[in-house]
Amino acid sequence: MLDSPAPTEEIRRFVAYLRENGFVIGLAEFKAMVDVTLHAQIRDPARIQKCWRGLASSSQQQWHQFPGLFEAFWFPGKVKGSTKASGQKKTGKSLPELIKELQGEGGSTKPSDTGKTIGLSSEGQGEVDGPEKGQGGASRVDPLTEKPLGDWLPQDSKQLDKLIAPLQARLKRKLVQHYQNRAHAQKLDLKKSIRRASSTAGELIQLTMKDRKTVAPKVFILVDVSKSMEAHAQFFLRMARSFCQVLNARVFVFHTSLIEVSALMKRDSGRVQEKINAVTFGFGGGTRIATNLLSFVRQSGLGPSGNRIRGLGRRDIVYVLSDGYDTDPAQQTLAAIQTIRKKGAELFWLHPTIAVPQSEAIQLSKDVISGFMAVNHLASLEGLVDLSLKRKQHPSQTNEKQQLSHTTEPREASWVAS
Amino acid sequence: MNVQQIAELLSKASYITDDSLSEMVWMGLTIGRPLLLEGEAGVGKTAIAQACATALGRDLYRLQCHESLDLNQAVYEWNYSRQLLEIRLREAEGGDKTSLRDDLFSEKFLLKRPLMQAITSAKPSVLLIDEIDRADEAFEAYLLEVLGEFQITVPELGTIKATTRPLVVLTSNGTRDLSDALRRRCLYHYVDYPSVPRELKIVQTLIPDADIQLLQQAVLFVHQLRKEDLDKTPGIAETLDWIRILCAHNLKKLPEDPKEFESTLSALLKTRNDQWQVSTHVLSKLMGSGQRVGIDAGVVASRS
Repeated sequence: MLDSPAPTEEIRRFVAYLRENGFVIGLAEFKAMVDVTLHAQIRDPARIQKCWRGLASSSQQQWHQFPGLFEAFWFPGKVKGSTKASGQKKTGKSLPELIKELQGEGGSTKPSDTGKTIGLSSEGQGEVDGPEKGQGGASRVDPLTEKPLGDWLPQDSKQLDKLIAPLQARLKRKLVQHYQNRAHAQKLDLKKSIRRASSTAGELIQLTMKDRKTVAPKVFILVDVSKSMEAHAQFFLRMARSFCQVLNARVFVFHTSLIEVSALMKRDSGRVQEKINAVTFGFGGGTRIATNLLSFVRQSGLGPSGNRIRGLGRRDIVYVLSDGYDTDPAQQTLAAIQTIRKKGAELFWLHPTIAVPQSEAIQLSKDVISGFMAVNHLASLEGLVDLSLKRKQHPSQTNEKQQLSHTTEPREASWVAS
Repeated sequence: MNVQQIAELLSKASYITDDSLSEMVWMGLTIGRPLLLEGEAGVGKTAIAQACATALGRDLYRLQCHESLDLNQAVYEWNYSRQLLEIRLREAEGGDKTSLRDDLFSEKFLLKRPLMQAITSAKPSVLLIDEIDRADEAFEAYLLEVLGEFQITVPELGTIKATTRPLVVLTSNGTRDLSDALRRRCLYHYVDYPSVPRELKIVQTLIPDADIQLLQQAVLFVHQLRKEDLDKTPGIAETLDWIRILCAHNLKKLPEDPKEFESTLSALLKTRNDQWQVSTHVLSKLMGSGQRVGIDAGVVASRS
């Protein structure tokens, strides 16, 4: 089947070309590509494209990418523009010629005749080696970590995902409601117990218990999109989007009122980005943090269709992305934050300013906020995972009752990262 | 059997396929590889397996995946209660117990689940593994042996090899990323929303009594609606439901005033947000944009 090296060599180069473009193709797929072409005696390139597409693709993206790559490799003349496809030059035969040769009269291709003409020239082969490199070891890598928030592009957001992903793995799962108040409660797994009983002639001697179900703590993101946050809101929304996509967080935006935008965040399209931009543009007004925090507590218990769901609860995490400037009375903000903390959730304040916000509301509520962190470039986000987990590792610090009853007593803010 | 014949057989089984998909089915049958179909809900991924079974005259074994799916539900399970009963009966009879151990773990006491049924089927069959992305990774890893070698290992019985290779169809809605190992064992096909002519042909086949003008207008309307940024884009199933509702209202064409059919849109719009988003104004716009649209199949819909 593969005894005609020259045409299969050409297919192998096509496979190599696909691999360079991110396709995962093993020997089995390569053989199947040759097999399917021979088996069906396919002469029509369009049919070959359809067959190979199914064999080579393994995702929606590759499925859509394949026809372009196929055309670019086998019919370079048809491709308009000056697309440069990852280094390989096609100087060999066209696909119809190759098929003719591959199937040619019972597969009696003469390798010695065609071996040199099919495939890459020596010049082309030379170009396959390695990616394009800059002169003198120069690098094109952008110093993204130090890039100010205002200069961020939507495509840079992938960097955020990498920073947020570890949090998902490190967040300790919590028991489902049924077990929360019954520390030692266990459910009998009758099916497994009966199965195990077969080894003791049907006598139920060893009982098997079900694993206690746990769920990941919920993460909520509240993004301030008021006028004072105009310069930072777009980045914070991208950050929220990463949280939403990586941690399945629920995202709310607020200025004078609060609205949930989780559904928008989950959709990954340019149109969504436009909507997010429109949201930040349209919301550029005043801020009512206290009112919105209380509104958030209510809305967290509502599902997408307005149905009642389990809202904010123990060990959940709330990140507020705001500069802290509030038009509500400071006491009201304190009360709102206390309401959230009384539910057992942690509340972290991420601010665009280098120092902790100096507004009266934040200064008054500082003791009941679980942690502060300045977020002004990517590197500053590296401490986010530690900040979120540090509080959880010290239960004495999370004793809400103690904190809430002594709110007037200033506390050492050693965990404040700024 | 060639691709055209497959397309015709599927068409007779009320599944209007495109060239690419029938090519994939042909390849699945020819080289014996499973088909992995990905796409939005309601585009006809599950239906292709059912149609293949009908078209090829094969038995269909369906495995609906879910989070807690285990091998006992998917592959096989020993019939414990029957085994216990057998032990008690032998004890009561006081007969020969030497062969009991072997007898208890024979095929007589094996409860075959869909994967085992498909593998041991004497006739070629169609195995549908629906929504594989809902199953956990451990089950996905187990499938590698089944899909790669078409064999199942039962410790007590040994390895059972398929006598005839079933046509395996896996569907996924993309709620979880499948492993590369599984993807590599399959032929991949992304099932997209159908083109206007194909969707028109589908609805004509499945709702033959409906007025052609209504069908054209409804299909065009749904296509316009799919361009909107909806939470849940309506699939073919939704289009069919909607047209059936319109037919039940004895409509021969879409009313001029969107308000007259606004109440029927619950068949197309499945979330509160979508219903809120598609207001009367948006409906008017959608109706307007579909006023006169040329379709490559030569169908021209007019909202006259």
